Amino acid sequence: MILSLSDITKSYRTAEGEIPVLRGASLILARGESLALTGESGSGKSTLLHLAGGLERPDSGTILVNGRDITKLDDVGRANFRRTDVGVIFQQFNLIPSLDVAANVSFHARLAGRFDPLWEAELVDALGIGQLLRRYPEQLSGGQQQRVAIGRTLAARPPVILADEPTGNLDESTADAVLTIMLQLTKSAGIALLLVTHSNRLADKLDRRITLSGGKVAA
Amino acid sequence: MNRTAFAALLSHWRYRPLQLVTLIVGVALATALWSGVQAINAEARASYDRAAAVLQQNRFDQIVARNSDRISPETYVKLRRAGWNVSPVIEGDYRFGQVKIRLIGIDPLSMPTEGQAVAVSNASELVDFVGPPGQLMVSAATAARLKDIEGLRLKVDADLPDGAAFVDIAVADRMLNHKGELSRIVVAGSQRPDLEPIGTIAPELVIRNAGERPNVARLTDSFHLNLTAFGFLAFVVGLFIVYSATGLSFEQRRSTFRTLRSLGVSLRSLTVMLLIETIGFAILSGAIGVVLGYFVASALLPGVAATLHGLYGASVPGALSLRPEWWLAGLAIALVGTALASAQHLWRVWKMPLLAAAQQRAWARASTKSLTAQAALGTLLLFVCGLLILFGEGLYSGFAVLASLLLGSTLILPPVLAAVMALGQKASRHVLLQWFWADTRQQLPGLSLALMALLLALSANVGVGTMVSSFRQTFRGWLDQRLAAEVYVTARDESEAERLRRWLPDHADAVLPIWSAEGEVAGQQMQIFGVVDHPTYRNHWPLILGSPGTWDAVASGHGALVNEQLWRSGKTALGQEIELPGGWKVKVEGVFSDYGNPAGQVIVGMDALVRHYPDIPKLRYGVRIDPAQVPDFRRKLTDQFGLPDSNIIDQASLKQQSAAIFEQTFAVTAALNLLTLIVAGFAMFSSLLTLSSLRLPQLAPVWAMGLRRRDLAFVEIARTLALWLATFLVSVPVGLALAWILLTIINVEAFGWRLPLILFPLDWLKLGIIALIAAIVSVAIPIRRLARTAPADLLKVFANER
Repeated sequence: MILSLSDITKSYRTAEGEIPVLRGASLILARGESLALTGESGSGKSTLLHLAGGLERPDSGTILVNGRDITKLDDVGRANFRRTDVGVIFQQFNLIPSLDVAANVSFHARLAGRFDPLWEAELVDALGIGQLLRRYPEQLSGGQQQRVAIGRTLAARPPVILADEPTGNLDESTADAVLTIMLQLTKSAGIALLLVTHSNRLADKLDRRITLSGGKVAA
Repeated sequence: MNRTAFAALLSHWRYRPLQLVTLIVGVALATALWSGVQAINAEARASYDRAAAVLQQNRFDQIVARNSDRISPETYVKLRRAGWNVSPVIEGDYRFGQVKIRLIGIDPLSMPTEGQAVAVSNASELVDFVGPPGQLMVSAATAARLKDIEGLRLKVDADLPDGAAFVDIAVADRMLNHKGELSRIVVAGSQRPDLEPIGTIAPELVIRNAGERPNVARLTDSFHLNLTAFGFLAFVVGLFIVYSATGLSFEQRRSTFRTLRSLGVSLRSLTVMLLIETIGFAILSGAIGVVLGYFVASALLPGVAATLHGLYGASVPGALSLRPEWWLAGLAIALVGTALASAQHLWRVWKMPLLAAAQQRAWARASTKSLTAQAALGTLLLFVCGLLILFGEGLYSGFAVLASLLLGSTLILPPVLAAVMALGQKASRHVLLQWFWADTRQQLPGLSLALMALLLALSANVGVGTMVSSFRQTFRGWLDQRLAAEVYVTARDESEAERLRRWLPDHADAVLPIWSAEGEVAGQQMQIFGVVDHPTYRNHWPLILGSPGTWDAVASGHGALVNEQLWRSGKTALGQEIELPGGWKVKVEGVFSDYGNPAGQVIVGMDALVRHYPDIPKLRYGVRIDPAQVPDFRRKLTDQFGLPDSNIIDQASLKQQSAAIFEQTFAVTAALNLLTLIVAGFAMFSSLLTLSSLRLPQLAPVWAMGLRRRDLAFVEIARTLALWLATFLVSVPVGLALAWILLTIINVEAFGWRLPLILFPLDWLKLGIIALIAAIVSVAIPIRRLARTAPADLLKVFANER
């Protein structure tokens, strides 16, 4: 088991009062496994992903990554955790606009101290972004940007990757192609993948799927 | 619909109130400094005109002697008999103790009513004015300075300028020892039509036309031009803020523009709305700026008045009067400035394709082209600067050299910084450093205007600071040379002076009379001093040009020294003969430095001076004695002659007074320097603050990959400090070049003297520390904001439903 979330609760304070988003959600992800997390809009999928990625703290519950409870980590610990133990892919790609594609791809790996030029070359080749290395993010199409973002995360070889609707901005065929590459590469590297998606078609491509409803895992 | 669209456009400011404040403060500051300086200039010029109207009756034609001599009473009588309606004036400088004033003797009966200047409208006032022992009419400030007025009556007239006194012509004749000879003759406005021409009655006389600009106005032109240049510099720095703020507001509203246009608002309507918005802001902030400008001018005017008095003897009131034209000019300059700063952005909106997207990096890449153009233009301007230094002449050419240097260097700064960052990125091995350089380069378009403003302000500080410090050091050395006598004594009248001349030689090592005549030399009114042949002069007098035989030639009466101002005016040259008042000639044997004097000056041998001008006042003396004996000498002098303290001044006090005048002279410059730096600091602050709101999407991914908010804040601080440091480092050579231009071109053209450039690295260090503090202050709020950004806000960047 690489990732385990137990009885996670999380609420947000708004002008209308406190809104509970997660009410005791739990899930387990094995090493090298791919898991689809589905659910309606507002069901708490992204929140769950952010908590698993150490981007936010839960109100209660435990989150174990590689056997370590990240809810007990302070700010420094969580920053180190994000740097070395997890990779997050967002729907909006969130590349660094001031760096070219090559620098973007190697950025996280260098930050984590795991830069491997051979592995990176392999990724670039597999993702088909070899011709784009000197370009800047805004010169790329959505599909190209997402492939760069996947490349950036995979280059760091984190034990677990959390992807928040990574193909949400892409057309169907591009989305299929991107997900296929992502699954191949995570499998070959033994990386676990937790993927949030609205698409049943994409969810079916993963090893397992769970649905979030009313702040809890339904099935 | 347009109303709704306009409301939508304006709603931007409701969501970004800080940006609105930045824009308004930018225009207001620019207008304040510009209109403040203009108000000071206008006040001073109005004051010169007032003084000229009162003192010189320059609303009327004047008759003067062709060779600047005096006019004989017989000539005046001839004019009156020929039917000319004229009035005589006897005037000259007169000392009451240490207080020197301009004494103007008029004939109240023949003076045209508009030229009376003094209230002698009824019989009793007239009797008081002309009757014995004589009445001095002065301003309240002058009255306060006059202690011993030799038995004359004193009457205060609030309308009179300071430093002058009106008396009856007979009293002036007696006091100035004119023996009935007139200084000039005022010609009344109404004359008989069939009058014989002046040239026929008295060929030695000429008519000077009414309305000529007062001498002091001409003399002070360069000072006012300097002030205007500073005001303009601050105005430009302020406009940079406006340009930056409007640019950002336009950039941020691109999507609104697109939406409005796609909903049917025409491009013309959109442009008109933006124009109305721009004009509205300009008027609002211009009004605030004019009010601020009034306070700036009120605060600076006493300093300016003191400077003008110290440098030129010009009298300017220390209080500001409100003028409607000044308000209008202030608003107009705010409108023009805002229009200039917004023109490019409006043009972009006009040319923007309907579906254009706003992208940060695209903006940066587009600016790469403009960076190249900017670098080319900057280089061209520096080249022009070099050509003007080599071939330009005159004060305006000097200012063009300054402008091209500052503008050229400013334009080159962003391309240079971009190149340095590209190099830095290439040379860095650590990924965070690479990102730091790349990210900084991306911020450059948003920060470049603020950095340019900062460079202008810092360069001006280094340049003007170096000029003032160089001047100060040279001036002090010069004072040490020139004020060689240990004590300076002034007699109260000629009989006392005669007794002093007998007493002093027995009580001092040497007595050096300080006597002078006044007259026109080479077309300029100036003083001609006499010097006795004494080692004090031979060893101490600060000569710029001369030869071993210079002092012998001066002592013989055949040679003369001229001051640097006269020499640099090109009207005299070494070895050339000059004609002095009265028609006698001397050969120029040397040139001496004479800082702080706006006019030319000639020094001749004392015997020659007294021979040609036997009636000059002989009241002042420099006394050489052992410095340790000064207190004893003063006491004896007081016991013997009853001279008041103000008539016995020792060297140290005189140097102290001179140094105080010097510091006062540059107090205004220092204040304007500081204000410009504050404006530039605000430009940086506002740019950082507005940029900080755009930073989240750029910083959030880095945070998600394992950097703490604190780390990001540290990087932001490092970036700001690095940019400030780079700008400061560039500002030092630019400032030194500026100082060199001020010292060797502007000063020579404006004041007539040239000074050596002396380096003061400690001053740069002080400025660097001030700049560092300003940098920390400017970055503090944006960084605090970033460091306190809630993770939820950072996560919004990644939210799918943004």
